[in-house]
This record gives sequence, structure tokens and C-alpha cells, in this order.
Amino acid sequence: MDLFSNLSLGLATALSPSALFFCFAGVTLGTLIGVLPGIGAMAAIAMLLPLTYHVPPTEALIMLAGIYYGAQYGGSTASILLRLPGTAQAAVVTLDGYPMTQSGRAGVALFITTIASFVGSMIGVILLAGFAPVLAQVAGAFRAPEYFALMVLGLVAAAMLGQGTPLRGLIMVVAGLLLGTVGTDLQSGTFRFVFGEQMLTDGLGLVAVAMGLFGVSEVIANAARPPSERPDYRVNWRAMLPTRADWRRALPAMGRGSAVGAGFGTLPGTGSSIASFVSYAVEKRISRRPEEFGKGAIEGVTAPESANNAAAQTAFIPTLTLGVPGDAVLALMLGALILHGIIPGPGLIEQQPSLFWGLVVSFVIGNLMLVVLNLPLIGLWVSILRIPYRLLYPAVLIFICIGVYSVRNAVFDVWLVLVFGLVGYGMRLLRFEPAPLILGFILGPLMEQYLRRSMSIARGDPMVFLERPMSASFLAVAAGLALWIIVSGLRRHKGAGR
Amino acid sequence: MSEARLNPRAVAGGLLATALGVFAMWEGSGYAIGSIRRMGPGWFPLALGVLLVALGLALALWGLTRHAARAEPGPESESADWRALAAITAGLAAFAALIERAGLVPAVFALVALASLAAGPPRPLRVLALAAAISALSWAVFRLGLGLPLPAFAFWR
Amino acid sequence: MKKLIALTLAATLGSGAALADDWPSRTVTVTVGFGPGSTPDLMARLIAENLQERLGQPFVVDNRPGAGGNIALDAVAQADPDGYTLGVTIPGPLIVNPMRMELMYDPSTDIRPVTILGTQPSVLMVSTELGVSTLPELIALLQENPGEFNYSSIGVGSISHLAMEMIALESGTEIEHIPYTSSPEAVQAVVNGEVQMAAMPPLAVLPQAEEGNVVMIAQTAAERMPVVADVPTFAEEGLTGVQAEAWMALAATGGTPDAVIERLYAEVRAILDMPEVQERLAGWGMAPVGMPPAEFEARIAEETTRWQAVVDAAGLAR
Repeated sequence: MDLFSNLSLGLATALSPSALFFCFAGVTLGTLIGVLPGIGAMAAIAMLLPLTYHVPPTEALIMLAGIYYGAQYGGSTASILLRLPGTAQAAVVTLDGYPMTQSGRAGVALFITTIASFVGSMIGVILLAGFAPVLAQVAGAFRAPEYFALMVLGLVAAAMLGQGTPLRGLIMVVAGLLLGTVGTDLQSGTFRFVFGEQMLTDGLGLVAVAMGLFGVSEVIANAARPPSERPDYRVNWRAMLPTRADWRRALPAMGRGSAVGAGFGTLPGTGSSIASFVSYAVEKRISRRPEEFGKGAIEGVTAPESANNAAAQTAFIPTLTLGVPGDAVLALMLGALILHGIIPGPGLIEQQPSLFWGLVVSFVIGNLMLVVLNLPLIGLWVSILRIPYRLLYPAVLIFICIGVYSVRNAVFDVWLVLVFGLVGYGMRLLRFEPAPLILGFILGPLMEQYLRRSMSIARGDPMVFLERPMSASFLAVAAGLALWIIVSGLRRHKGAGR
Repeated sequence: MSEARLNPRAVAGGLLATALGVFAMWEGSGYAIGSIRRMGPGWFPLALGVLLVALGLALALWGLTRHAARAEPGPESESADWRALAAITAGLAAFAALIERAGLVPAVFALVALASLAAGPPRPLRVLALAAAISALSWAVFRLGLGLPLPAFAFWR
Repeated sequence: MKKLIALTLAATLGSGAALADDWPSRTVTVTVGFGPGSTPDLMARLIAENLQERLGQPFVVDNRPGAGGNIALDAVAQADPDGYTLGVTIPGPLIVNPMRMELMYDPSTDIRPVTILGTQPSVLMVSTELGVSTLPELIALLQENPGEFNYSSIGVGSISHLAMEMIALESGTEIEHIPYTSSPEAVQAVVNGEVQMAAMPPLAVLPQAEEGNVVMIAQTAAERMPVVADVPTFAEEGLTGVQAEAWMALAATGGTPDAVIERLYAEVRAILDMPEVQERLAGWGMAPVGMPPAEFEARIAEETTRWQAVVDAAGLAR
């Protein structure tokens, strides 16, 4: 197992003209898809799957993977500019990215997220190339109690996201967990909170919930606002380039975010969404200016963005080495392999070295292409904001509706986006923030599943969570974080009381 | 606002959260609760309901204190914009009702026309131009570009 | 309304057969209850592509994932019975789901089965930690320790769940069910020792068995399938009652004219006989079937009886 010869095999594969072409096609399509909130890589890959019949498997996978990580680059664009997150990761980026836009720094935010994405991806690729088998073993050793403890940690981190009292964050997390229980119970097959509606048997759709809570509520709040209240969006390099102070704050955040993301990414299932929430919480926790978070702190944009891109790359580790896909999109890619008669599993790297190493090298090439592709587009995206809002928001609503509809071709989901738009607007008036709710919503079903699975396997003994060292340490960290939230909350109280 | 004695938004929010918690407990207890070893489908919702009631009450009580009034100082007091709310609700509802029955173009026209009322009095010409432009754009992007199953016009069923 | 028009049209054309004779004269939709890239989806696309080539009309695959495939089959059930809406389905929505939940359709009247396209066995695999390599050894171990061991499945009511319950029922033991959400996860749980056994599709088991991470014990097909030719069947090992196949079938709306069904069946039969199609199916761990519609209906009746007993014994009936 010589890394050098493996990489040269990968280079030979990934630099062939056809591989380069498919890589370029993939990342370009991924960028465009990512920018359209709600459409997501899933739709694009599903669309291209039949085409991959006629393409050799390595090239097919290079292209599909390009769409996957390309979409991560574009995914933050709509969240930063218009507060339209199509994924949980993008929901985190709205927290500080959208305030940056509101203060006229949209260009800077987009520029720095592109760099953050690149940094995160590269760190992820290095781990994938150098340590895939080791990391896969660690991930493979995770059992239900560890996953459960990890979710608890993620949820405590989510409660820190808001600006007001942590009580509000906790309420949102629990409300999100509750929304996550809607649908068919995995363990028993019982319908919960379905009320006879067949479309609810698979639960509420994330895209509809997120776009309603964030996007629609934002449109309602801003539709009638006079144009004078909006900043002037200039499109030139000076308005786009981060300042020296920005860099000084953003670069270390990228490093920390990448580390968090790369670690979580190797865990199939939830990796990248927890990663972006946790990395945001980390930044807020260690920052000397925690009060700036939620108002346009640049670390709040770069750390989660690096985290989710690093996770997108390391998510290939369990997918390719264990055959356990990290999420639905990666499962689809495994489907593409099966289509070609390649069976994913633990022997894949040895049996298909040119596929694996070609893919790894194509990630580097693809990410370089993405930077070159994305930087010039920033000007174009920012100039969208120059369109008067009264003309822009009807278009935003249409894009929301079509994006939501396209997830599973269901009108029901358009009604859902309307309901959650109203809920989101109500929450806004009462000063509840949607981001912790979104994480609760995503983790809810998983958390319940891991809790019940742990209990069934341990035959009802709750001590499993403390007997296993990894789960015990995650729970300890979560408890420490919770304590810190309470203490700093009380301290702020005193400050406010004086 | 220094004389504010309580934080009405926290009180209202806390009470709403409590209500949601009570609903979850009530509905959750209708499913099998099971035991700690074999948790039934009702266990988790019930537990969440209890948690939500506790947190909601805590927030509401906290909202009654002076601390709360100061900790979340009177915001740039965002009050509800009922006109925008109604217009956008109507627009989205029209889109949902029309997209499969009538097709993309009629749905876009209805949404744009109704939602535009949120920003001010109706301006038919501008709405028409905007709706035409957005129809063309979304048809090009989603139908032509991405091949989504969204015909421009559908037969009335 | 559409039905009325169709009837009127049929009357003016002389007979219903006239309409059926020129089937297909426009786009045919093939619904699938699972997302793109899933095995049923791959199957639907393979069949649709070949039907399109042979019949000269577009056959469009429509993914309607949800409710274990019920939503997609419901779309077939509610469609006009003219053969322009077909569905590729797994056994669940046709046989098992109606026993477990209230459905919008009645498979016995609203659906007209065409044929089974392909089938795959489930392979019972166990963790290497158990130290058993044959079915009798395993059953002896289970009977000594009832309720002690766990098995993973890909969800309540899935073949992977019911097949294990069938094994427990037939061998008179108890095994604890731990549901997961997908076959990779369920297999991984056996590999890392979270559970001790599972009955999974060959494609999910083979790579792990090749690495020596799990031991294959028996397959649930009636006769050994080529993809796992060296694994004995349950009947060979002495458990005759265990038979569970995860097939994929083509179905049309209830009341679709015979002429359409016959035409469709003939074409599908010919497609399944094509060497390149068989090769493709083999790559997915499946074997082509293609029995005539009447035989398929009898098969559904037979499986319904078989699964009803398991569903009742496992306390899963609604």
C-alpha cells in the first residue's frame, strides 16, 4: 500500500480527457443546482443516473460526486443572499451570512465561503487519501449508544445557536424533535401525528419545513419594507474582497471547522449536518466576541462552511470502504456503482484501485475547478440583490414553491411550505429562531431510533451510555457545554440587572 | 422602555410552547408507551411533551420578571404585517391549487399577482410583465434545463 | 369523467378491443415506490427502456417514494384502467402491507398483476463471533438461548424482518428484532457485532462474506440461486417452511383489458429472455422470472396465506 503509486494511478485516471470533462460537467451542474434552494444534488443525480448507463463507472462516479460536492459550494449562496436554506447545513450559514448581506457585505460573505469550502474540502480529501481504512474502522466501531450520545451533544450545541435566552433555543430544539416524530414509527410501524393523511406517513419534508420557516417568513416580513432601508450593493472587487481583519478571524475558524467537519463526516447518517452546527457552537464558545454572532460574525459563516465541505469529502470514507452511504445522495451514487455491476463493500479499494484513487484525485481537481468557477460568479449573485425587492420576492416565492414541489412531485409539500411560512412568521414575532428547530427536526428521528435501539440491545439497562467510554465522553462534553450555557446565561442576567 | 416590567413575547411564546407540549403529551399517550426495554411509539413524543411543558412554563415565568424585560430589550418592535401575510398566503395557496391542475404558467401568474399585493396597491401592468418574465425564466430553468415534470399548461382535470 | 369519455370513444370505435389493440398509442407512465438508484428503480428503468424501444412509445419512470411503496401502487390503483399507468412493485404493497395497515386501495380488485420480473433470495448471515457455520448449529444455539440474540432488519414489515420471524416461527425459538433503515446499516450492525444475524439481499451480504466478516448460513429461495450457488437453501438444511423471496413485479390497474395485459406480458417476457437483460439482472444479484399473469395471481394468493401466518404470529396484524 504505497500512497505515492496509488496517487499516480489516481492522477493517470483523473487526468484523462474524459475524466476531466465529466468532472467539469459534474461540478458545474453541482454549483448551479446548489444555488437553486430545494432542488439539491439528489434531483440532479437522479436525473443523470440513467445517462450513466452509457459512461464507464469511474467517469460516472466522478461526475456524480462532482455534483454532490459542487452543490455544497453553491448551497450557501441562496442562504446568504436571500435566507433560503435548502439543507440543514445551509441553515447554519444563514445565521451570520444573511446579516452580512443585510449590512451590505454579501460579496465578502460569498467570497470567504468559497475559500472556506475549498479549505474544508482539501482537508477532507487529505484524510480520505491518507487514512480512509483507519477512519472507517473507527466509524465502524460506533454503535447505537455512541450515536445517541453524539446526538445529545449536537442538540446542546444547537440550543446555543440563538441570541436570546438559551431557554428559547432549548424550546426550539424540543419542538424540532417533536416535528421529527411525525410519520411512521420505524420500530413499530405505527403512524404518529399523521391524522389520516397519507402524505404525512413519511414525515414532514426538510426542504418544505426549512424553506417555510426561513424563506417564506423572511419574504412576509420584508415585502412591504421601503427600498430605502436596504443597503447599496456594489459589485466590484473592493466590495467583495475580505479585509485583513476578516482574514485574521476567518482563517483559524476554517481550520477548526474543517477539523470538526472531517471528524463528523466519517460517521454515516448525520455527519455533515451535526458538523456544521457543532462547529458554529465551537466558534461562539471560544470567541472573545460571542455577542457578534448572529449579527454577521465572519467566523460564524466560515467555520460551518468549512465543516460541511470537509464532511462532504470524508463522507466518502464509510460509503466506499464500508459500503454504508452517509446520506441519500451517496446512496444514490452506490446505486450507480451497482448499475455497473460493481458491488460496494469493504473490498472495494483493493478490487477497484483506479476507481477509488481516480475519484480521490478528481476531488482535488474538481475543487480547484469550483474555486475558479465560483469566484467570478459572485458578482453575478450579488447583482441579483440590486433588483428591487418588490420585483425579487415574487420570483423568490416561485423558486421556493418549485423547489419544494420537485423534491417528490407533491403539491402537499407546497401547502406545507405555506403552513411553515406562517409558523415561521409567528416564531419571528415571538423571537424564536428556526435554526435550532431544524437541527432538532433532523436529529429527532435518529435520536429516538438510537435511544430505542440502545435500550433494546442492552435489554433496558440505561447504564450502557456511561459504561462505553466513547459515549460517556460525548455525554460529558455535552453536560459541560450545557453547564457553560447556564452559567454564562446567569452571568449575562446579572450584567443586564445592573 | 426602562419601566417595562415584563417581556410579553417571552410569556406568550412560553405559553404556546406549553400548549404544544400538552398536545404532544395528549396525542403521544394515545400510542403504546411500552417499557424502558421496549419503548413503544408513544414514549418519545410523551417525553418530549413533558419537556416542552416544563421549558415553556419556565420561559413564561421568566418572561414575567424584570430581568426578562431587560435581557431582551424592546426590539425594533416588529409588529405583524397583516397585509403581507394575507397576500403571500393567498399567493402560495393559489400556486398549490393550480400547479397540477392548470400548469406552471397559470400558477406563476396567480402567485405573482396575489403576492405583489403585499408590497402595495395593485399595478396590473407591472404584475403582468413580472409574471410573464418569471414564467419564462422558471420554465426555462426547471422544465427545459432540469427536465422537471412541470408542463407550462396542463389540461383541467 | 375520463372514464366516460373513454367509454364513449370505445363505443364509437365499435368495441373496447379496438382501443386495446392499438395500445400503446401514447406515453406510458411506470411508477416506482422507491427513489432513484434503488433496486426497484433500476429494474423499472431497465424494463421501461426496453419496452420503449420495442413499442415505439415513451415509457417514463415516475418515482413516487413513500409508505413502503404504497403511494406508488396507489397511483396505479387510482389510474384509468387503460394500461397507460403501470407500476413496478415489491411484495410489500401487494401482499404484506394490506395485512398491517389501512390502505387507500384493495390490491385484490384495484390492481391487476402482470408478472414477476425478477427475484432474489434473502441470505441468512451470522456474526463470526457466534462460531456457527451451519443452520442446525445455529438453531441449536438459538434454542438453548431463546431471546438472547438480536437480528437486524431494514424495517418493520420488510422481507428482512418477516423472513427472520418465519425462521423463528419454524424453528420454535425467539430472536430479538432490532430494526434499521437500510440494508448497508443492517449488515454493518452484524459486522460490528451490534446484532448477531440478519436475512439480507445477496448483494449486501456478499462483499462482507468475501472479507470473512460474516458467515452465510442459508438462502431463502426454493432452489439455490446462481448468485449464491454455494449457500444451501433452508429446505436442504431441514427447515422446509422457510421461503421468502424479495421479488419485483409489474402491475397494472384493476380492470385493464385482457388484450393490453397479454400484449404487455408478451413483450416483458421477450425482454426478460434477452441475454443482455439477464446479464444485467445477474449483476444486481437477481434472477429473471416472467411467469404468465394467471400464475402470478396464484402465487400472490399462495404468498398471502404464507405471510399471514407469520404476520399473525409476530403480532404485526392491524
